[in-house]
Amino acid sequence: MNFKLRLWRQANGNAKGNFQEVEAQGVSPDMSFLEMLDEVNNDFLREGKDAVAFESDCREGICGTCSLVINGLPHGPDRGTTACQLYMRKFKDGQTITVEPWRAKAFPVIKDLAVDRAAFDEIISVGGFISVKTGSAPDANGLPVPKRDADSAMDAAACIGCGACVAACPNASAMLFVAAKVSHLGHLPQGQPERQRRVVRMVSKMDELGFGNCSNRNECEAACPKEISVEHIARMNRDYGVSALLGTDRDRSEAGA
Amino acid sequence: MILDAKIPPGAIDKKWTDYRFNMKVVNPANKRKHKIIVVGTGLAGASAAASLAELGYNVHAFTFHDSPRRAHSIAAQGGINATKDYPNDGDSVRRLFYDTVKGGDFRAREANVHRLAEISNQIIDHCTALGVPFAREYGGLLDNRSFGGAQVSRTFYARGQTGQQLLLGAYQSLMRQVGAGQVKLHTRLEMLDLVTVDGVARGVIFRNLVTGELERHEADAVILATGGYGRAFYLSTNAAGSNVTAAWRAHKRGALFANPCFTQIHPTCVPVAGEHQSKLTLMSESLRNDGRVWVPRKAGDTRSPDQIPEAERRYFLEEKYPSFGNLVPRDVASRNAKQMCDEGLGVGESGLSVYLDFHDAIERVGEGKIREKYGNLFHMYEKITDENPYQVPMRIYPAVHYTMGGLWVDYNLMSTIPGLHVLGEANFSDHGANRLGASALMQGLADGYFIISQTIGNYLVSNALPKITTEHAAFADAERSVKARLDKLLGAKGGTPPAEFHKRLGKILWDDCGMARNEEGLKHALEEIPKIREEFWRGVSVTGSGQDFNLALEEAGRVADFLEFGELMALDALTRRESCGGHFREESQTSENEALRDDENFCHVAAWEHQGKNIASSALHKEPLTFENVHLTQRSYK
Amino acid sequence: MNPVFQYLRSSIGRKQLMGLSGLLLYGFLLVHLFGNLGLLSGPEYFNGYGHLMLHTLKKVVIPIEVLLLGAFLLHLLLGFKVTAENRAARPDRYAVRASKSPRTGFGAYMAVSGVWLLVFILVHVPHFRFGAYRATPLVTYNGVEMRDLYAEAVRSFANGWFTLFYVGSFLLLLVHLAHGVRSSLQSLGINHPRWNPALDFVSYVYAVVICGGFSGFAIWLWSQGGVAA
Repeated sequence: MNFKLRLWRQANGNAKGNFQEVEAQGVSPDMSFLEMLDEVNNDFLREGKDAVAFESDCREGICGTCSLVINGLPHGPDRGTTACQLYMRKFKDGQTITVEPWRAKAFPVIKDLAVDRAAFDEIISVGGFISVKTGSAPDANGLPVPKRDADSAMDAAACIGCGACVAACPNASAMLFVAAKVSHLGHLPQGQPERQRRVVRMVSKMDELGFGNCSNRNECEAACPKEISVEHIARMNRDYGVSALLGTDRDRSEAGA
Repeated sequence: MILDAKIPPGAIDKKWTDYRFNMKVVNPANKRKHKIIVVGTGLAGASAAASLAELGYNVHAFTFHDSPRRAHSIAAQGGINATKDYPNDGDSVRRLFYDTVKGGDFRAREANVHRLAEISNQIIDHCTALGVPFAREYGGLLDNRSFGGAQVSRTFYARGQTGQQLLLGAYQSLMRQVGAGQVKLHTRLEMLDLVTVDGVARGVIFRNLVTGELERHEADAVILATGGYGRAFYLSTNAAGSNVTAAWRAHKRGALFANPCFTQIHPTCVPVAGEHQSKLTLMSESLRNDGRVWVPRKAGDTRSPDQIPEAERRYFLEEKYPSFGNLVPRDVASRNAKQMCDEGLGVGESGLSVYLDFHDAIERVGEGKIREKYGNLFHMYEKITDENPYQVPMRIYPAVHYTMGGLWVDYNLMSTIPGLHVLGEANFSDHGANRLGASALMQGLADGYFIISQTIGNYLVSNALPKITTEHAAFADAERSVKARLDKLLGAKGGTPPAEFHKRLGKILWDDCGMARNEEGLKHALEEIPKIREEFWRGVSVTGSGQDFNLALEEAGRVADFLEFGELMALDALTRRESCGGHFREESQTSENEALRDDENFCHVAAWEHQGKNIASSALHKEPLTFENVHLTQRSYK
Repeated sequence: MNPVFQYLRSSIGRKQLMGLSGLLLYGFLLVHLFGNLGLLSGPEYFNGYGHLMLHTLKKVVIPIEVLLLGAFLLHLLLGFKVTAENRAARPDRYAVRASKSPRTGFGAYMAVSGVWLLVFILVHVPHFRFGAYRATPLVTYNGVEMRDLYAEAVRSFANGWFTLFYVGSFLLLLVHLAHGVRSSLQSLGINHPRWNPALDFVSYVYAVVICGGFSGFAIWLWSQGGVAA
């Protein structure tokens, strides 16, 4: 198969970017999208040209590293798929494919198609956890968890932190990412002691980092490679409203943190 | 050099308890004065960094990824073992200990394995408290399953994403400490050298992957949790970025590398589709519970599988191993598949795959039941191959999956360089020559949460560590050598992408040092690898600059290390003239083609010491293994 | 910071205020539509209803109007602020625009439809509520003098452009409501897989009823050709 690629090239976060047009020839339909880009890069290297920077790691859809907007869609046209699991047979021979980075103020471009998603780690660091010191846990079966709650927690916990939700959101909002963690921990009895504090702190941090607001367009859910539901966002909205207005365990000195 | 494993005296089930009492502890007020570098943020690294920070140490965690959560621990599917015995099926610490020693084909240390089995339950307790959503029964208690041929149900799991959930638990604990200011997190920093001062590990040279700057970091102790070296084979189930560089740099600074030839090849992977392929995808071995493995009886039979009548099919595992059938251990299943393909019976375009057929199972229990059990795996298979496994048999082939070898460590998880500790897959310790299913996650977390947090204190108190700064000459020396190497890579003006050399190395290792090894092949590998290495330095193409985010430069550096490491792997495989676990020497097999150990000559850990430039002249040191609690027997799965 | 202020400044807090004010205004629309049914009962009834609301019951109605005005202004201001922030959150646009979500169809036009509805309200409220550019004389029923809103409506809608402006605005209102009702509920945390299909159905039906109802009256009046029935 042959394709005409339009690859976003940008030297660094401050530089202006533009599209480079490249012909990808002799592409096997069994190649993944990233393997096709590998070949393009190998050709660049053979010709002594600068390879296009794009990120990937596990290449089996679980690490969340790959981050390409393919023809306007994060991770490409398939549902429930990361770019590394997207195969070229899904495209038409001769098609023009435009490849762009995640675009969001909170995810500055590092180079070409690679962006910095450290904002996600920062959000987790203010509350996306259950505070348990190693060694202090009771027996695992000491606290029964209804199967339905464990299953719902797992649905939310499947998030791979790729940022496709932000990339797909017309407002570059991080609501689905944050909601997935709030909902994962909020569904479990272990997560209850910090439930109010967690949601307030994580939402404050999210707001502070320059993500946009949710307008319930559900693009995040549609783009999510793990198909995490916006139901978790509704849950976070409830939790946040209750915790912020009626919460009792909020430490005032930390409220704005 | 005498390798002292520092195994505590006493009965096997008292060693760890007694040792914990006998170790010195650091005064709580002094802990924050000790700076500890943790390289790698997978299961072992993240759990270690979090636990040490909780204790009050001044921890600096480093990852070459953009976030600690990307580590390849995240891809583990199956589960994690523990001896809770919730199912009441007779499990115990002793049984897990026994299974692991035997499964590792008697090439692991008894004391380490016993400690691992003891800690296994604490891991489950801790992870559950952290919010890991393990599978549950309707009554709300934890569910267990039998996994990897174990005779008891001791595996805890979170759907098919156990590794992901355990890693996220450790990651969240780590991020909690980052938020609290107890851990300084450094992302996108790749370790390129270890700094030793007077023979003691005191720091690391990192390259900032975004700016290209070299950074010096000093510490009282260094912890490596940088994963395995399966990517030496190029094609493996490891992540594209997984590499041996950190461990190899430490090796070149004096850390002994143990059993590098012990690699695990997983039988149920999606076969290679073509030259372009960058990695292989594993499917849980639970598929073998219902799928039947077969090849056509006639070589070159190109009929579609449904056109081949029953009598002309060879169910080679069922025929050869009537009692275990399709459920033989990983190494046995892999080797037999390879043997079929070597005999020309392989299927698929390349002839490098065998059928895994669910037709009978679907007829027996219905498609619905099969979908319920394996739906996600079938879906993944179809995504990759464009074939519907409900209608045509799956095609599978073995792939490199895990490496049991690694940097040599003693009972304290310290390498032969004082102060350099090695955790998780990066060390060699607990799995011997073959790892059992659902025990990698257990080992990574045991090392990180529960072992290093205890043993490192003993090291810090017992050794006078003079204050140093990064101005010390050792840092300048190390930085100079790192810079020289980077310049050399950037200066190579060849026209060949690094991946091509990597692929060539991988093919040689796969052919000569893969599922079956023999003297001739290994000697061939030892001849070829240095040649590729030489061509690499002449012909590699690294474009772009060193002061930039430069993936080609990163890749080239890692490939260069694999090209050195691969030679040591082949050398170790050649030297170990016995078969054991995943290491199958064709010269050493039973009359029924099973692995034949040579306990008289090879019941030891082979630890290699780097000697200057020449890898072929690396010095071999042996740590003898003694088995007082589990008796040496021949594995049999007939 | 005071927790309540913090809530009001947070992205979720503001979305919830947006949703609450939206729901209040949606509720008002239904009441308004019921009021319009009076047109069917003829001038005396309709004008009497208008007089009742604007004079007799003004102690009740004016506070409600103030509340609605407050909700409207809040909705408007938050809308502008949130939209500006959302634009800032994505300084560089994608070269290729595409969507996988079925909800984007209507959701994409909230700002556009919202601004248009502001224009509509600036025309409609002064006209019918306050009697701006009034051209019809007063009428007297049972000795009470009152505005002839009925005649004013008939006269105004006789103009095809005027009717078109109204019907067009109602179509944009449909667009606004089709996304807005469910969006408000979601912001307030109302989302349950078992009830979502019903919520979807009810909110779409609501939007169609409101838009259809108002448009129906506008077209009906236009079809009268300026002659009071």
